[in-house]
Amino acid sequence: MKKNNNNILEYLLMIFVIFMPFFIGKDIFLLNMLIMSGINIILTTSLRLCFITGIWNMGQAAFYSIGAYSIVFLMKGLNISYWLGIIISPLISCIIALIIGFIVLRVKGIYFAILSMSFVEVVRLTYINIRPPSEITMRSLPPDPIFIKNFFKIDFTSDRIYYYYLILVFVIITILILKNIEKSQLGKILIAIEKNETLTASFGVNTYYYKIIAFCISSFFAGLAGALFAAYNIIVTPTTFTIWSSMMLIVLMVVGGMKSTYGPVLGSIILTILPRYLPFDQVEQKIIYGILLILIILLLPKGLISLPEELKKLLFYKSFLKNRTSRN
Amino acid sequence: MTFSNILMTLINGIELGLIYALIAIGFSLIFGTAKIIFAAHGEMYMVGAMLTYYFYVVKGIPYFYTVLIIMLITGIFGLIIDRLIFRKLYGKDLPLFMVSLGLSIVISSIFLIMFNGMSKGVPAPIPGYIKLMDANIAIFKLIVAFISLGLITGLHFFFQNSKIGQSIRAFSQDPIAATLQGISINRIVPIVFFVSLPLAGVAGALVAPIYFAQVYMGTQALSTIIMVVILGGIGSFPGAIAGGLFIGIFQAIGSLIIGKLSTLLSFVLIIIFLIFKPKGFFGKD
Repeated sequence: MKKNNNNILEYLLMIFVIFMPFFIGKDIFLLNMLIMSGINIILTTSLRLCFITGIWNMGQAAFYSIGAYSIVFLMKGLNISYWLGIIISPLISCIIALIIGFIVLRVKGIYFAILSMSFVEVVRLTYINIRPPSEITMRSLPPDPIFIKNFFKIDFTSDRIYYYYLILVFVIITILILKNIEKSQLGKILIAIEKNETLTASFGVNTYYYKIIAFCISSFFAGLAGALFAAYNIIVTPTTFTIWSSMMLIVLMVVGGMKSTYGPVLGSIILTILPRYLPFDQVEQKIIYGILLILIILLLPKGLISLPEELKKLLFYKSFLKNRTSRN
Repeated sequence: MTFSNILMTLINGIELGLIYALIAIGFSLIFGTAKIIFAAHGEMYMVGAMLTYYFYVVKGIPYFYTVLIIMLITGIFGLIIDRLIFRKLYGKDLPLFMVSLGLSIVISSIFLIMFNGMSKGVPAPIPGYIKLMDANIAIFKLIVAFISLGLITGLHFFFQNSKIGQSIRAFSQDPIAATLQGISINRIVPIVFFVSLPLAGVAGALVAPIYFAQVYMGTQALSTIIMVVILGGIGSFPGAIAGGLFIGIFQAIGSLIIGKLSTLLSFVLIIIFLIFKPKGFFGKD
């Protein structure tokens, strides 16, 4: 019964999301925010795969930037079509994650967190140092238009709605893949590693190897998000990919809730769109994010996604207490 | 490159290394007892430097009292955050880390609003230079090195000889056995916070007159401290000192030879180090 309910809810949400642009009409600002939250959804849901394995990955922004930069390089330097590039550039960030993970995943917990955090800084400094100052900010190209037999044409420069659907397709693919990974044998091993790595290793599982896999998958999707971001935002600059943007992804994930795939989705949507409508500048927004992170961890450890459940428990608990007192 | 150049670099490196050691001791102390990865430790260093600018330069309070005020503020702040936030989460690694991350975001943003992002110069409280083989060495730099050396020695005796210090060491070695001896986590962790955070604050206050005070120095300090702790082994007192000195001297020499890229190089160094010795020089766990 419960499973059925969830499925129906998923389909309703899908329909709602597909027809979203018709509801919001000509509000370009909101449409842009929705596109940005779509990119954040890809980043946070894949980041969650690291955290359920017990890898405290704070380097998501590094792989995000590698994806964005490599697609600019592929399109401008090698003249490769965007649709080929969007497959190659996540692979590039995946391969870099393989190399970095192979070395850095020997350490656990905080060591990994901070090393991956400094990796973000290393990637950023590399961009700044290897290019002349005038070329640090790069301009990407919009995706190549799609033609089908001359009568159906999608030109991405003509309307923002095409970007919305482009990113929606990738968001749905990402969520489906990550959900299925979590359900599969691989996902069960990853969760077991988080619960007790020594015990998992004693069953003959090479935990190091599986951690590298989780890290690479997560970085692959980060690279995908980077490639989408480069096509959408056109301007790619190192200031977009700082340690702070890594931290913000963690805030989005934790505030939404880490227990299920839809937690990060909820967190990304709410925290990307809502602050833009509140009268705060960027620094004040950071303070609110920080306070929200602390409050959520203290008061609602499972995140916003568990809010209905917690409320139900609260109400039920009160009625339960009332029953007991009335009986006495 | 002359001999005096090398001498200057070496002194810079040792002084920087001792400062790093001061911060790293506090960081690994908090990790050793409460198992909190205190990501806001770098911000405490920044708070020390910025408040030195505020009290000493803007308000004109004597330097010595400024340092005392900073120690008190950071110490009491440690007690408050422990009581209000951390106590509810003892034993849960990831939430503790996230909360300290949130704290560091909040602290750095508040300071960014209060003081803007510009570097603030702080004049040295004791001006003057010593001439040593035609190298000019600021007197204050030497004083800072001696103060930090003194603090480290003091901490060493505190941990070896005092009852509280011994119980902190006992608790970080074996929490369960220590608890059976009547050492409660609720008593130990506030003391640890009250000792560690002022150490970072004082480090910031000592560094501000030598270099400058800036809001963004906290995050940078945190990543350096982590490198120090990785080199020395987490939770190890001699490890923090050895790692601090090593990184300090390495950075000083690195910035002399290759300049801006030395941060990048130290990351590469850490990665190479991790391949051969993942647990650090003094690490046991």
